[in-house]
Amino acid sequence: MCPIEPPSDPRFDALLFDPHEGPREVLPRLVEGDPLQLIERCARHLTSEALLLDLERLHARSLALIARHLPEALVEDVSDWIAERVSEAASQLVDEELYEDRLGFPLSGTVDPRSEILVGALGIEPAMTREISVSFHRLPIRDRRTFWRAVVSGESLSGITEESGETRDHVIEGLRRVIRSLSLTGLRERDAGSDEFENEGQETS
Amino acid sequence: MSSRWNHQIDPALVELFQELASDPRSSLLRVPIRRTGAIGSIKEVSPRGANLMAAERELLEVFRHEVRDLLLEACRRELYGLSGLQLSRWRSFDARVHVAPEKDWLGRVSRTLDDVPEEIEAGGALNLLSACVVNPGDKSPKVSQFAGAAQRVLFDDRARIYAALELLSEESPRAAMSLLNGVLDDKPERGLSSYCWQNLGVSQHRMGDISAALKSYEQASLLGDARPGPLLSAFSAALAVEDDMRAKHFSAELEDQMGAEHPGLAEEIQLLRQVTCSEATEIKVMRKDTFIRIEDRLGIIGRRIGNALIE
Repeated sequence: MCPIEPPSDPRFDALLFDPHEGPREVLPRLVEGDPLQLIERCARHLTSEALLLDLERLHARSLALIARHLPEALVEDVSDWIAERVSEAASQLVDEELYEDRLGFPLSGTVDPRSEILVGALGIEPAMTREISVSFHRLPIRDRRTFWRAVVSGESLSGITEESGETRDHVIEGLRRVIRSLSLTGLRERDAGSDEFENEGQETS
Repeated sequence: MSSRWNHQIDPALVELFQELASDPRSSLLRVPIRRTGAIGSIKEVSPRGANLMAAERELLEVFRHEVRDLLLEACRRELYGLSGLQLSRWRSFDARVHVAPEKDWLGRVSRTLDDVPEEIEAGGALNLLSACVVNPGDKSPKVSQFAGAAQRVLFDDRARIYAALELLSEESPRAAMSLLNGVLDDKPERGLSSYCWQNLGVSQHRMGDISAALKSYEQASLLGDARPGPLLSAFSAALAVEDDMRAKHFSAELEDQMGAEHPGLAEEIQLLRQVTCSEATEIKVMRKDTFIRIEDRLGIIGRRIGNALIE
């Protein structure tokens, strides 16, 4: 481990490590003014990985992980290290959502932006959004990205077709598969035929 | 929350929604959608970012993950010391599982114990970890204790799988199967499913049902195409049930994916021998007969595994 030293970029001053400080003492300077531009990094991560997570929650979790693991930051690749924490935060949130859904935890009372996306775009009842979000995160990233571009970003199908080099029918067929799978979330029949959508997943050990 | 939705859904997509929503089971279009100006990026939807209180709240979750992960690592460390398990050190064909040296592991546990806030209600879990640090030479808690504590801190399918592996090592394959089937019923992600199927196979194998074990190993290899263990087991089981075609198939797969020079091959064969050593004599005889019959049609890895199993 190597305590971080101030790189030339003053944005990273917030990462100066003092061994007498705990994560709670570090947090205020990471939050104030967002010197690490973490909110943008989180938004980019959501887009690049096509994840339906609450940006504010991802930002807060990323801040907490950075504060907790600050002594592990290496001076030569601070930016990469921050990106890894954002990715770790997203993975934690995706996992937590899966288990909360499975264990039937009550939905949070606060309005969640991704609910607005699923409700506003697909006309899904708010009570179903967590379950559908869990299903979505188990789709292969290629399918998630196409959905993200067409539904979340609102790109035209012709634009997606042109950029991907696939035929329009192929793109629509892919979207049909994904949206159908999401819309039948929770049904036994859908579960039986969903293996092709499952992600590679993590290793057990 | 300030929504600023600037885009318009492609009309073809709206048609697709309508078509799919006509299925009565579909949850689409149950509430009105916004056809124009419908969707914006999540960044636009939520521009404020987190405040300090939210970050402090999330810090507690970070500690919960940390404690749970240490407990799951404790499970793995204990499992590697148990016998009769097919607990490969190869997480994939080209990546060895990293097992931290004892000193590093204890260092991380100490740091967590020092830093974990009181708000984390995990007394039992922390006591277990504390016992590892205070008395490192003493008899360690059981895997099921670590796994149970991990589950109470933060739910995770791996905890139940590790508890099942301990049961397998304790010659309780039926109880292990029950736990593993419970995990599979919850539809875990693909890698964990593969791991469950592999150990269901080991349980069935232990109970003498080699045909069922072959199916489980086959399922494990289909879902976990990056791990060598299920393929070796499937090859061994196919030989034991005199299924020439499958044995040749799995041998060829091993040849393609593993290669004879793989640094973990000897270790994998050793693990496989541990699983097969307690088999009934007639199973060993059948495997040997099949192997001798098809040996010249197998690749170098298939021959090496077969020869090791019939020694």
